[in-house]
Amino acid sequence: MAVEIRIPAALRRFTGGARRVEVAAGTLAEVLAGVFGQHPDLRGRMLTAEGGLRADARVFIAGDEPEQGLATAVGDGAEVTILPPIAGA
Amino acid sequence: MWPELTEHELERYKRQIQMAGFGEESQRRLKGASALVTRLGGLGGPAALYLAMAGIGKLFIAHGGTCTPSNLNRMLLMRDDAVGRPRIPTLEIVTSTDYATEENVGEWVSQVDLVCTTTPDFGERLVLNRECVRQRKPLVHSGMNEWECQLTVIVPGQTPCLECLVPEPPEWWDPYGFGVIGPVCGMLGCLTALEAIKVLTGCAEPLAGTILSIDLEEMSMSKCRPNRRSDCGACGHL
Ligand SMILES: [Zn+2]
Repeated sequence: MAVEIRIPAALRRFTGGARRVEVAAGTLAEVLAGVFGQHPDLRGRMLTAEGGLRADARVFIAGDEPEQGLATAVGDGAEVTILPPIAGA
Repeated sequence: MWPELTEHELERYKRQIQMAGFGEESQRRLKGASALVTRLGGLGGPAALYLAMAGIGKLFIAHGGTCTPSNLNRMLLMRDDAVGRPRIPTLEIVTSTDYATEENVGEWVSQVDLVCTTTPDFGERLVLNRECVRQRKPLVHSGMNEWECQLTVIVPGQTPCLECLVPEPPEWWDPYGFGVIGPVCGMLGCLTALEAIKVLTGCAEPLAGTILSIDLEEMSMSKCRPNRRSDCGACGHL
């Protein structure tokens, strides 16, 4: 079991077009590190230089913001949503 | 109170008045309501069209610049010649050929009950958001990219505002570089109008504080509930 994360279209240029990433469960920091391990260009779009989540890089677990930030546990099969801002019209 | 409906309006809107939870009062509230739609592109065009068709009393529509060939895959050509003819509901239309800026949004937002931001430019959206927060006016924020859409209703002081979600325009977002096909922004424009109607009439459940995310490639949708940011430069003090 693992965590499957869908990459929104707006961020696929940073994943070489990959639409889904599968990583091992863990804390949110570990899950994201797994994602960035496969797609390093995504890191700067989601994390600040200090390693925190960027304010405009929202990540939700089962629809809610992670209560303990990057330390929040993400279990096997959890629904993790990356939601970058988009403004196309 | 809300303006009365004429016999013609009762007939014109009877199919929505009959909807559960809508009724005549919602129609009267809509008749007494006004909205600003900034930019009439593939998204704002249908949003404005459906607000007008649903019977909103006043519509303020603004879009700078002129039409380009690459607009034509999705932009509705609104027929000016229909305005003022019989059988059109009483609708006040205010237009501007400017973009929303810090200089004009104060005046624009003061004229309406609600704002729909349908511009691809995050800077412009953030300017409108600040003004909506300042004037405590609800803001329907919708945006698309390729097959994906996002939609949320911002109620200043109650929900996260746009600046809580996007403190500054993301450096990777190109306002004129996103892929777009008509039905995607058209559908989102309709949903934008629907959320505006819900807020203006008090009907149903608007997406206040909830982001609806739609993937039209796989036909799936989900909801996320972002938190407000206490250090938000726009609404943190509320
Ligand atoms: Zn805010």
